[in-house]
Amino acid sequence: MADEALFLLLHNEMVSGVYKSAEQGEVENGRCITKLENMGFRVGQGLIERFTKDTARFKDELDIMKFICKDFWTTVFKKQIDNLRTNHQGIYVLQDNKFRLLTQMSSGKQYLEHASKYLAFTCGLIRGGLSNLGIKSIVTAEVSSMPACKFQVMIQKL
Amino acid sequence: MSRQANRGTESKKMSSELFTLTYGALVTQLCKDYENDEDVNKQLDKMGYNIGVRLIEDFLARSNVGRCHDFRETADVIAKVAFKMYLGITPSITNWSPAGDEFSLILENNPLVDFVELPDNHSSLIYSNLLCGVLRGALEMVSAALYILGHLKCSRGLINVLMNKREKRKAFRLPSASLPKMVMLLSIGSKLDVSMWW
Repeated sequence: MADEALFLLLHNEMVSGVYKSAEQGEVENGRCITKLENMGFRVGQGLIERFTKDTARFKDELDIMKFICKDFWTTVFKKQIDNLRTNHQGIYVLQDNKFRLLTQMSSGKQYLEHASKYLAFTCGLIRGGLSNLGIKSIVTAEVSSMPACKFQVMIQKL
Repeated sequence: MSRQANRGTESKKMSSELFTLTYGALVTQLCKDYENDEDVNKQLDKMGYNIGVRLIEDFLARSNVGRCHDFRETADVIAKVAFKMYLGITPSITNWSPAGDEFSLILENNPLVDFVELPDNHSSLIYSNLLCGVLRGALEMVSAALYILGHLKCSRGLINVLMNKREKRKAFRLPSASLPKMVMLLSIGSKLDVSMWW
């Protein structure tokens, strides 16, 4: 657990670092999100590789998504995804009612507009994990009331 | 089934992998953003500092460590409590200066450099420079300003981790002018205590 504080602080620094460097140069929100997302992607790839080393082969897409929601999420955020929904046509919605990276700024609505910065890394994390399991996807996040948030995974069919 | 069975025991280890990989991604990004290694080092140190000034609160809240009475005790707390708590390692403390105001921490198995191989064109990158910043920030919050010189380095051209071949150390140095007083002040205690001393 001790590692957790370190990770949270590092993540905060990453977000503020990326945005600070953007202030000096180009002022484009999208670029920062992409940067954070790419970092998450790389980490997700690495993690899932280490993580599925000894696991049984996945049955199907849903099985993989369940793995992401349970095991993967527990490892990274110390809890499971609270709700997984799918339309069975390649769209999955993962809902976390108390998302770890948002909890510290969740009292009140003051920081709601900044929430998306703190979700980009995790979007990348999911996308990277899925990509190494052979699923190409687009992951977006949305927040309506912190600390709850939803990640929407759109599977790209090959 | 076997998947579930495997999980519990590995969870702690995994979380340190998360940290290691995230840190790796960060350094990679910084190397892309900044032209030369010096700037990356500086940036890492700055980020570490920001982490340190916050981390110390977490540390004091959870570790139950009281005020340190001298610099040696501080060194012990850093190595045996703090590093143990956050990175799960215990660096060895060596190279004490005769005056007792300077020492080195040697990290035999630095978890930050797991999975890391530095390319040749980044010879002056101090990969783990974040740690120096963290220590600097944390210590500044509980005591006087310390100079922390980072000599943390991953050696080049190694695949994965070769633990003992690498030497990573940090040196702490106190401003020599105010030394006797400073030694007294070096405490891992609350910030309030320290400012009262001053």
